[in-house]
Amino acid sequence: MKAKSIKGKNAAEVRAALATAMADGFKPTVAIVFLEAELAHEEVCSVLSEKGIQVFGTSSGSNFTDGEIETNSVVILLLEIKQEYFQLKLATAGKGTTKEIAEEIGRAGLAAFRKPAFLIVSGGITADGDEIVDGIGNVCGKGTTLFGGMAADSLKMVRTYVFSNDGLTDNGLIALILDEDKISLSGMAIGGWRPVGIDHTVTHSNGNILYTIDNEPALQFISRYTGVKDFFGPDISNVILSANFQLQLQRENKHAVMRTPMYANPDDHSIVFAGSLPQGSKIRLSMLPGFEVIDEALREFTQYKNEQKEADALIMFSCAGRQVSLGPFVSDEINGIKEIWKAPMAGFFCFGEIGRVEKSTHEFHNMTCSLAILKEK
Amino acid sequence: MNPKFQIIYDLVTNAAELSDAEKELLLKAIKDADKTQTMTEFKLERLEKDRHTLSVMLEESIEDLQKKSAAIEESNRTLTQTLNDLKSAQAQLIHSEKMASLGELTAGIAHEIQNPLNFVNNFSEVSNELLDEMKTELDNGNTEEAKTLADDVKQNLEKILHHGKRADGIVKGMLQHSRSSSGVKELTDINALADEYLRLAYHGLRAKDKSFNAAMKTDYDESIGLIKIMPQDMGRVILNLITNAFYVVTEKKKLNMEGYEPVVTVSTKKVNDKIDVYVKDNGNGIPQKVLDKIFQPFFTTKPTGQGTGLGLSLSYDIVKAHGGELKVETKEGEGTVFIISMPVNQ
Repeated sequence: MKAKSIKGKNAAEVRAALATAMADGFKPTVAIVFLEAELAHEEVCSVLSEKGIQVFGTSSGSNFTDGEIETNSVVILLLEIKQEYFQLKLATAGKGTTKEIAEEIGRAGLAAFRKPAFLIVSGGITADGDEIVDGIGNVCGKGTTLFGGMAADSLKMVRTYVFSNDGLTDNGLIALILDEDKISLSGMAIGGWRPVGIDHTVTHSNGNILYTIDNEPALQFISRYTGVKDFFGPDISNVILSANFQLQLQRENKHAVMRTPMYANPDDHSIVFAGSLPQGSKIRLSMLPGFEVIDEALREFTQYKNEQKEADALIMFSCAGRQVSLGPFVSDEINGIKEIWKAPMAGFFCFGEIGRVEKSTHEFHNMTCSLAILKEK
Repeated sequence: MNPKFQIIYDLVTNAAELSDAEKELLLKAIKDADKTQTMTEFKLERLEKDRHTLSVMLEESIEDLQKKSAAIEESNRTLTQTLNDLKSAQAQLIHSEKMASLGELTAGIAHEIQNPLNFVNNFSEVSNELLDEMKTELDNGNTEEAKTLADDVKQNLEKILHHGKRADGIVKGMLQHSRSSSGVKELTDINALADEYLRLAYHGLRAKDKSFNAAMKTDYDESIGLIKIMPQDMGRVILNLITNAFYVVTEKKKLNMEGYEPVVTVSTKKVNDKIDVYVKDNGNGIPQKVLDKIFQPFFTTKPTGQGTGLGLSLSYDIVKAHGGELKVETKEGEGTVFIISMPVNQ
């Protein structure tokens, strides 16, 4: 499979970059598009549609093709995959739940291929990423290959969406379904956050909305730990994310997963997290790791290369919270990973990642750097 | 870029006096310095956030530890109280077990005391008659005859004293059995001790149940001599093993197996620097699943009310306290032998 990454600030720049990329006879069939949420997706789609390229698009904040973090731009990973090896599906939830449309995508995958693998991104800031994992798992089995994440909007927490050539939804999923017998989709997610302090209990929650911890209002709890007093300024989302308040959800007989607060609700002082926090579950606060976490991540990815030696293309879902926490150092992580496989890459800072930690099955995470590797067999 | 660095950057860019190579070098240095400053500022900001969170966590952890410490102290108090209660209950149980074994001995002891008492009574009666005869002889002036009779009375009184002491010894032994061990080892004839308890146990059972009968065999190694043991404690162990042996042979006898003759054998043997006391029965043996538990406290195969389940457990502890071992060898259907194995020089 041939792949190239391009970027631009607007449709015109994308058109020019696309022409350059295709000048050598490269004929992309799929474009993985990470588009700054406020840019016009139709114009970019139009450029790609002209060349018969199918679009797997998601709104993003900052995005990248290497360690240079782009703002107000679009980055695109162009893939030349045979038409019979993939299907693209944009599904809107309507009155259904995220899990139901994930199940619908799962069924479409099974109808199309003996062994489907899924790359899925969800639009909608209240969507619960766990439901995507559950939905696909329910239909295709828990071990099904699944990577992806949650669309972003530069930490504004106003509107995230996914799109294809046919349209856009801020309440649905975009899925690239691959024939895993022909294209391998592999990868891993690296966290590195360390739990600290004592166990706390989620005393009131509903899905990914957290109301109380140890019977203390969640926002008051965060305020106590972070020292942040005003969560309802003009840019609520930035306040809560930049507070660096991360929770680690403890699970029986399973490794813990990180949960990142997305935004606070001024009406009831609840907090919407990027993943579910079941009532009664145990949580621990997690401190920002030292910057050596980047070296550790690169070591683990280097080790993983022994397992997945070659890559045609790399797609990175790096948590927006990770960008906030690692600041300018996050570029070192992105560059380092790209250098390990030396393959074309595109990625964005998302609101939750679906990936595989170590040898576990694919799950919904926060605060990780999740890499999906494409390789034609 | 930091505004101050930006000023320098712009000045360098527009400086006509610098060559392109110099400009490139300087601009790269400015960019690097700007990057370093950005990263340092970021690190400082993060450290400040961490400092606040860590201080809250530290306070919280201290509070949590204090709570846990108080809970542990409370648990400790409860445990100490429970331990004291258990010790008290254990002491009471041990006493009960002693009393129970004493009960088993009562009939045997009565039988043993009866013999010397018979002697005392008989010799007293005979002496009384002899004294009457002596008075008659004295009245008749037969001094020599009277002296002979006085000698006979004297001999009788010596015999009365001997049997009185014998009864006294039995009563003292009984009291000793019921008392707590002094914990002091005394030079003891282990053969005599074993024999005494064999007879006491046998007569005790006979007194309770006239139909009880079992052959007693003994084989004592006379070369053992006196060994240092706590006689009350070791006597209790031997008695327990013998009583159990009589119990199992009686149970087997009840099965009316043709040609079965119950036999309990008590023997001792000195092997190098060890003394072994064997209590052997030809009962039904001990099944493996029972064998694993026989030394556990409160384990008994006897019907409810007939055994405390402490006999073998206490015996095990007593033998261990003597630096020895209590072993068991058994064969189902053929019988069991318990072996008390003690070092000679304890």
